[in-house]
Amino acid sequence: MRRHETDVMSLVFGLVFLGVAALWALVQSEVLSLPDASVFGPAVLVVAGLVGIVVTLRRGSRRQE
Amino acid sequence: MARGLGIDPLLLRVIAVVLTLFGGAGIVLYALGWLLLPVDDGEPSLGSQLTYGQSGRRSSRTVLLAVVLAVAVTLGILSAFRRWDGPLLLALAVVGFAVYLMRDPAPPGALGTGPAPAGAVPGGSSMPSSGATAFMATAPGATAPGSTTPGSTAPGSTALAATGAGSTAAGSQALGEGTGSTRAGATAPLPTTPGVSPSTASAAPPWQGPPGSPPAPPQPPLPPAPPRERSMLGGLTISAVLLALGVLAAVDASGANPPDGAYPALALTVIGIGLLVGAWRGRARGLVWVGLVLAVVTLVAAVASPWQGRRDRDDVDLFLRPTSVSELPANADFGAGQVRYDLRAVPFEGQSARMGAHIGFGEIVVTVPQDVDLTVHASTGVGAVELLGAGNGGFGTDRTITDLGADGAGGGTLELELQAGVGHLEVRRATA
Repeated sequence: MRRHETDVMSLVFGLVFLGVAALWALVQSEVLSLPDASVFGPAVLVVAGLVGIVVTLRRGSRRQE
Repeated sequence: MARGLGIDPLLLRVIAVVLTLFGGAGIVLYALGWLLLPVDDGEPSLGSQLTYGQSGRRSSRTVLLAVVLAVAVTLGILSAFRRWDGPLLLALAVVGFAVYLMRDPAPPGALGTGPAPAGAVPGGSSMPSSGATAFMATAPGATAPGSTTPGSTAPGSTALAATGAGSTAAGSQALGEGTGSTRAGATAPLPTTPGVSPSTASAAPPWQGPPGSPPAPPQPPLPPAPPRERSMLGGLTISAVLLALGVLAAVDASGANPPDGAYPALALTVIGIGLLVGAWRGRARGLVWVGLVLAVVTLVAAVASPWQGRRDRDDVDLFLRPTSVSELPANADFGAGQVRYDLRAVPFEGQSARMGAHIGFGEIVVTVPQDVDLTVHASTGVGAVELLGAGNGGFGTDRTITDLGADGAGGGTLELELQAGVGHLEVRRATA
């Protein structure tokens, strides 16, 4: 498989899915109670969204150079 | 119906059967295979085709399938919420694979149009390459008219244009309406317009040679390497998912008891890893659809079933012990958390009481005295409701029960109104 420019869509969704799986694991193992999960869940989305934005912007600025 | 959806009728039937028999759990596995594994004849898998952005019609079908899947999963959750039965899933995987393997030879045999035209294009080259050949051969024909679309989006415009003229060769096999594919394939070598996009340049040999000459096409099986390379990731990931599920099922069958939602969570993890890999190497965006379905299932499993193991523990956020009927809340409203009401100390004898409580995200457990005559109305948006030992869950659960308690009528009456947005509601009788 050839290396290519970062695919933001794959990256973001990959992060979200891993986050959801991690959320499940934490709740199941009782590390996280449900109130905590209500914070962790949105945090997953926020992190994935931020990563997506940062990667996209960085790529955009690199192109301009 | 199959024609309307543009899906192979056999496939639809299989979905219906699997759905009916297994309440939707196994359909995930089957559809995963159908969506993302490359078909035997070398045609790129649906997932990888989606990855290249090929064809509006095709991807809309895939979206439709995803919706069907989501519905199926929902039904599966509703019918067998707490039973992610390992052996059953394993059996389903086997059944799914068997059906999947049986499906491939069927469309060409039954419909007789699939491989024949596709094979005719490259002049009778072997089956494994003919599908891909026909698929690529449509590219020059359709994109030649001045298209300069770069990279991976080129096949998308290809497919759209080709769909107008007939159907794509790749689509024809899945659809079984391959009459147009011959035409698409045959016209491919004709246009000699320069300025073909970089990705289609790989398919150059057919139209660089004598226009319309059949001998040239046997070369294309080599050029389509990039697309194949990309589809590898999807196939690899799905194979890894099946492998992981198989191992988990084996562990499950051997006596260990994986927690609820372990199966979808595991599959989701592998898919997430596959997508992360795909962010830099290879490409498998089709995995997103599968992941979305699995994410919903995993989330539901996470929020709706974690209470089984901690039911008898006391580490709750709020433990309320009212001692009179007047202390019962008419309509308590909680945001998130775990709330317990212990009503054992409330003297219901000869009284008629009512209590209402709502929680946005979390759990309400109410323990009532043995003798009080009880009417409970409990509803959750997502999650389980367990009333006096009988539980069920899923989406939009709404239950009402009446129970007179150990002494039959008498001991006062209590009307409970419980609601949870996402979470768990439970009412239980105090033990003596």
